[in-house]
Amino acid sequence: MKEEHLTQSLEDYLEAIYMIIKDKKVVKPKDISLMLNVSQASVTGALRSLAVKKLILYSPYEPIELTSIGLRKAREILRRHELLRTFFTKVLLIDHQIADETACKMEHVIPKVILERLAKYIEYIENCENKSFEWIEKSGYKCIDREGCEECSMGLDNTVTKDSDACESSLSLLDIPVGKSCRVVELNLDGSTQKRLVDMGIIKDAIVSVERYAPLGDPIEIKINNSCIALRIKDAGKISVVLA
Amino acid sequence: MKDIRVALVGNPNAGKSTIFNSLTGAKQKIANYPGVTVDIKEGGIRNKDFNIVIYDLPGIYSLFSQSEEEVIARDFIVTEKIDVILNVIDVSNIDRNLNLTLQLMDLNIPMVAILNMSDIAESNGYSIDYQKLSSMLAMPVVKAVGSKGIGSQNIVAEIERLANGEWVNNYPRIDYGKDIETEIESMCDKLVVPAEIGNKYSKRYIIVKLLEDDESMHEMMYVGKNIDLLNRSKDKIHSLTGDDSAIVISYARHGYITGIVRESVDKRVIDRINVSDKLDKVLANRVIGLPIFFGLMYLLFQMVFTVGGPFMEWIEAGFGILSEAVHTNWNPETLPLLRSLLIDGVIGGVGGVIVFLPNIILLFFAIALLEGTGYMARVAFIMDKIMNKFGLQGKSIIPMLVGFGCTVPAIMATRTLDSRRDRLITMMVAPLVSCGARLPIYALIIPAFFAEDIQAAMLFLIYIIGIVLAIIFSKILGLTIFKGEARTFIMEMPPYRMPTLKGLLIHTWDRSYMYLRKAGTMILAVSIVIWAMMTFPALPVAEVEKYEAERTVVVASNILDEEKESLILDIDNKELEAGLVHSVAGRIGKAIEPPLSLLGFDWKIGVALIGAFAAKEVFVAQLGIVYSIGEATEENQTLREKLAYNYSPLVALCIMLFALISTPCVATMVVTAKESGSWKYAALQLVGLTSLAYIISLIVYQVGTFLGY
Repeated sequence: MKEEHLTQSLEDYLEAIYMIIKDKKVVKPKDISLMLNVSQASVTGALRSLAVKKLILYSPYEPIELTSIGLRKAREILRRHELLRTFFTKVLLIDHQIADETACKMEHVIPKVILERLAKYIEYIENCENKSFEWIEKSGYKCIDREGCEECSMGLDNTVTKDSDACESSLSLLDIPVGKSCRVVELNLDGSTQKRLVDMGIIKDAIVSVERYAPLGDPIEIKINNSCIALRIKDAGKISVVLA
Repeated sequence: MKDIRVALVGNPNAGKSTIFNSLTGAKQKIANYPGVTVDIKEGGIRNKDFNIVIYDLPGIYSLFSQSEEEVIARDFIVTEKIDVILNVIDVSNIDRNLNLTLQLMDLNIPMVAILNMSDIAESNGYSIDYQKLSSMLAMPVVKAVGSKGIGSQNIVAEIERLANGEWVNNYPRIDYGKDIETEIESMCDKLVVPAEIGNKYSKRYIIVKLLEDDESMHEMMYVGKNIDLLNRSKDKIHSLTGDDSAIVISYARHGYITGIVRESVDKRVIDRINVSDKLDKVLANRVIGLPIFFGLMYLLFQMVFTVGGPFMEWIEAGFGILSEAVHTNWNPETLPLLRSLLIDGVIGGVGGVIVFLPNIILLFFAIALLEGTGYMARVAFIMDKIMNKFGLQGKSIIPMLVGFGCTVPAIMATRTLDSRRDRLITMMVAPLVSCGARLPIYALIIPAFFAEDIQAAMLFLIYIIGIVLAIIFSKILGLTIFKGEARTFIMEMPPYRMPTLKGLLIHTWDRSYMYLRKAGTMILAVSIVIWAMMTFPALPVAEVEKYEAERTVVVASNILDEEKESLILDIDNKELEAGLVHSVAGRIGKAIEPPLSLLGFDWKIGVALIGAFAAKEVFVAQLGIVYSIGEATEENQTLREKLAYNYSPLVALCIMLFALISTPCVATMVVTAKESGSWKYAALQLVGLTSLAYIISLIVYQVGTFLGY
């Protein structure tokens, strides 16, 4: 599936929603306008366009929620921000505030490939077991111990690839046509709902098929092994899957 | 003789109750345990060596304390000293069923695995290595088909063997992986376990439950530094694995199950029973699913009336003969008070209730059929979006549908809701769903006032009004008194099944019996109290003499005998009416007449409503008694004709509305208080519903009168 590009400001909104949810669990448009220092009207507009792009669930008087795609996107934006800031502060030893501001601007434009390499570079330096990398004035980082460093590069690959499975898919259960099967990649629901689903067998790597939608379009019925389970659209949208 | 206590545990829809019925037959009763709000059925098997008592626990997916049923099932097993657990497993969903099995193992109690519906599974291409499964689970595995009674003997044999022999706990210990196991070990040393918990559960079990975020375990272990300790361990697990400890544990468990299933079950065909899918294509269809649902409900009500009609007439006739027999054979001169008590109080009161038994049995049978076939789950599926709009979940529709039978089991059925908020709201509005006991009122009134071709529609309208009010008020309550977020809806859709006749009859009998018992006890008592209220205090002697004197005048006068008779009956009637006005009931009725007159009700309706406070169906019996006073003059007129003569159709509608909406019966109040754990909610229900009934009837009557009806 092709990644849709968001404008810089929409990315900021998404990031803000994510941060507020993490902090307070519930997001109200007012919180967003306070955080980003913009008017309530522009928040409403932005929320609408995020909803059109299926990144959030938004209807008036209901709490705003991130869809699984939105959640992943927000995490990705945040990760870019944090990676850049870490790179500036830890590798280039830049002052924290400047690093943060610059990261804020760069995060929207930096190509994925450069970002991934920066990530590798940071982790490489941070994880090097012998701590043999040192900042040397005028020539930057140098590895002063060129031997016995096999382990650090091994460990590195693992950490970098850890999240890639979750990133590979941007589909949720709701994107699967009725009658088709898919494999569960990730559940992003809140605690007790998630536990209940796990008890019913909906776990990572489970094969699930979409059976039908209720007459009024909600809930959705899915089949796992031999049992059919009905759940709400709102929750199904938070189950990331890949086509089986 | 040795007592063996056995608990039947399993997933919902695993066929637990068919196994229970085939093991215990009709010898079962609803067990009554203090504090237990979920029906636990009890049945027994007795032979020369043993007395086996079997408890049928509510269906659960895990021992996690999420819904009340899960907590109750777990506490029951532990506190009631269960000797053997019978774990019913649906083979076609073996993975998910084993998840519970593994959790049950942690309780360290001998267990028998019952593979239910093994015939269907085998014909669907499953082949099961029972021996291997038994050795991997370290427990006997019995093949059974509950609906056909297959396997019962083997189950009993295994129970006896386990209870008799020395059982050794060989249950496999699941390795939750290095990260979890290390934390379990370290917590084992530091955790402070209060004695009363330590006696019931092993330390490992407690820690695993804590790591699984089990709420009730969390509460019990909220001692000393336990929670700090736990949080540290959970953080550590999270940082090591990137997942919550609860998820890591359940994944480990699922991994273990996958292993067992791979080794012991060969699934060649993985297709679910196709009939279900085909039926759902129609019954849960996006276009016709809802119309079918409403159509079925309408048919159900039609059926209840047309099939029930003749039976009602027979019972009515039977009570008529009985009353007549007493009337003619008992000389009015001997013990007149007792005679009156028997005819008007006992026969009239109870008879008026038993007459509706055919309707009620049919309704309960229909509900048992909807539940037994699995259609009830589709109803929840179809209705969830609507119910959600009003702040509830699809499952709330089930207590409401049960409420058509009787509000008491409806309030008990709210136990399937796992959020307390949803439970309380459903409990508050469930009485608005018109119960079977209110049916007698409509059945009396509708034919008296409305033309035959609109009678069914009228009844349907009353029911719909109740439903609409219930929905509106659940939304209002959800936004005001019971603020909070509704728990989400997750429900299994069981495959459609042909319920066994035996199972249906047992369900129908259980519920009808409850109604009958109510008629036999509470309603009889209330009828007698009301009879007394209407008889005492008697008219003063001076008054009686006054009427006597009037009669003497008429007898002595010089007119035709027919005219004499009619005049004397008039006087009799006046005397009786004066007597009633003088009685306690009459005084109360008169006292509440001014506010009731705004609804078009007179004091007679008021008296009947006093009876309805005790139990809705008493209303009819009560009206019968109130109007039997005029019997002397209106010899051949039935109660209906008397009502039609005395009230307008608009008043009739208001009577039905008031009966529909006003406070539930005493039994409902008691159950609400018991289920919610507080009389506060019962009081809220009482006051709220009665005021609502008054306001709505008032509006309808006043607007109706203004419009000229």
